[in-house]
Amino acid sequence: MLKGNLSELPLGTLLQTLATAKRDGVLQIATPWWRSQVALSGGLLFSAEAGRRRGWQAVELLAGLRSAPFVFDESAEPPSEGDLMVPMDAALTKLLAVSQRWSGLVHIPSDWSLRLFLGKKTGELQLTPAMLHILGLLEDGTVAKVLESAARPPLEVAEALDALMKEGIIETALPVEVNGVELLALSFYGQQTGTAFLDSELYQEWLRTLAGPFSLLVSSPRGQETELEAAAREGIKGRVMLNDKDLRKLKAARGVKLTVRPLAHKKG
Amino acid sequence: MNLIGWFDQLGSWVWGLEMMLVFLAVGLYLSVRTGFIQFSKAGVIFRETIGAIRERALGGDGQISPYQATMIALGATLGSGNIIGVTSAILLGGPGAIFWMWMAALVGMATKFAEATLAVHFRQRFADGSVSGGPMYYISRGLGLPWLGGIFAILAAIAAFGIGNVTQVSALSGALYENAGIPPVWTGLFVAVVVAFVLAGGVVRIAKFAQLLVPFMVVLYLLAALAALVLHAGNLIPAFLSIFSSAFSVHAGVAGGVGFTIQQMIKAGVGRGIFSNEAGLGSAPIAHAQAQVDHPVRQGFWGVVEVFVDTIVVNTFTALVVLSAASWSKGGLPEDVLYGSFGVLGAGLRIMPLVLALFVFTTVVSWAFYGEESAVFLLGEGIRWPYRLAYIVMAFVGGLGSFGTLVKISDTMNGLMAVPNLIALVVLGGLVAKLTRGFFSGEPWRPPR
Repeated sequence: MLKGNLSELPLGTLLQTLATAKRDGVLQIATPWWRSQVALSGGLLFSAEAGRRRGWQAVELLAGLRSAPFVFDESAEPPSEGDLMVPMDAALTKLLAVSQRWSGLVHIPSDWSLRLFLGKKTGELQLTPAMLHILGLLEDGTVAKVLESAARPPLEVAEALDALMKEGIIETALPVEVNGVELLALSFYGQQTGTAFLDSELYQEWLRTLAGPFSLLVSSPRGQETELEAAAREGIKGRVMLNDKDLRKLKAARGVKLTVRPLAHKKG
Repeated sequence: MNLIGWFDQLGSWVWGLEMMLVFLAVGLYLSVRTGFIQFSKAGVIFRETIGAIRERALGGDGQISPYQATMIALGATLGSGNIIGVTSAILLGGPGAIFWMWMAALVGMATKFAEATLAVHFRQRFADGSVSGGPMYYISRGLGLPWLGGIFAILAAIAAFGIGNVTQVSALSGALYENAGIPPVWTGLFVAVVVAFVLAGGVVRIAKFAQLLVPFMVVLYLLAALAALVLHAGNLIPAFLSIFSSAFSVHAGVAGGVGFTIQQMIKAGVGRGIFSNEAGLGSAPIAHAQAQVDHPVRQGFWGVVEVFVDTIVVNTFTALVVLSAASWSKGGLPEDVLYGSFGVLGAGLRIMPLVLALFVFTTVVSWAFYGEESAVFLLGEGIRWPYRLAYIVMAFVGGLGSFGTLVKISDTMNGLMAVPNLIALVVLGGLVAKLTRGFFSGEPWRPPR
């Protein structure tokens, strides 16, 4: 069993080493966002999987990983049907070209768990169809999720993303997790639904912690949950102020304890 | 005319029919300005108050919760007027008087809403987080007439000694002497000690006292009334219907007398509907101003509830007990008619002196706070303890006699408090409407600088 990290042994070099030693087995790459593995069998690159990507698209995506622990297990059985079946020599040549393209994408962070959001920068940029596609996937998207779920080859998506990030059209932020707090519901009235007010002090604290705007995931004791825009209001310490209509949707009322958790960067 | 005669005349004017019409007119005006909030937002009002009763105070200015502030106000308004006063109204105006009492209370809800709202809006905030407010502040800061605010404060500081103190303790000591043979000096001493203990803790202790005692005494009284109603169950529906059937017609008088004119009926009922809950007199806003709320309108809602509990609930229970017993139609003194109506409880009737004692205690303590806050407005913080001591001494002395002249003067002062207060409510009615609109548009409250 061979163990290591892609930061020390990139995918291309690793596969070349295994091919030279004529080893069959399954290479499992421990990515936190999805299941990743590459199977080698009978001198062929037999199959590959990275989340929803299969075959060569999975290899292309995994080639972009700059760091991830891996384990090569010779005793593991490859899938019954291969989705690649490419001779190792041809695969390695192709992989070399892919790795070179990835190495030029310097604006994509190595941590793919970072969240993507629209930057504040404005200006003119000729948007390609791939870029437009990425912009449509930004809602709640991380780098990993966009690269995995886009309906285009991963490298094309990565190149478009890199260009957008270079221009500042898309920015990233740390995936800060703030624990939910219990706040007493306070009602307000009027047309402004979809907004929850926090005491100014707490709002500023979360703004600092999350390094930017955030929305609120509000849960009621009766199991209802909704996401609302966050706003600040003076003098409501220990409270979260919701429109009476939103409170009713949550099956809650004034004075009920609601669990409130900030969600960073739903939008820029 | 001597001074007492002059006060007599003034008293009969401020508690007279003309003044009642002014109260009603102001209440109607405020109802219109607020879009008849007591009806149009009844659901919201009850959700925001009774529906959120277990809630703790909001942060920010003030030291007590909205509920506690309301209990202080209710402690002052609930008194013998809710029991003896309602019986008197029936004796003077017949069952129909209760209908007019309700009508006046419904209008009074808008008045009390405006008072509580303005009291919070114009309250004075201090560095330690405490607040002071009431008509003297909204007259002074809202109308820009500090001298008129000062007049209100003088009237309230003096009235507290009579309506809030001597009148109450004297009635209690009389009742305890007659029913239990307790010497008045002991009653006076006991009341003075309890009042001294509560007042020494400031508004926070007063609030805790009211929060504990007021709901207890209301529930106790309502249970006693409910028991009497169950025992008179056969007469309950006819008694209830008589309120409506006689509201617009001449009704047979007591003991086969000449009957009540509609004017008598309306005067007796409306008078009770106005003076029982003190809407317009300007006393309760001093308590409401203390509440920790994020928006004045939220405390205004408690003002509506205060009137509802005082007049629509407690007074109606009294009225139904008296009317279903039917002994009122034979006439007599209000106290005799009342005790006769509750007589069906048998030994349970002994609960009435306890209820009366509780009503007295809460009134004395709440009015002490009103008087103290008024005196502080006039003379600054230094007067707080001297005023308290004077008040405690008068609570003891009040047990020893009825002090007719003092009570007469302070009653007149109490009635006169309404004059500057009602002027302010009319002039500031537009602001109340604006604050109400702002609240229902989700706008944050911006206190005046």
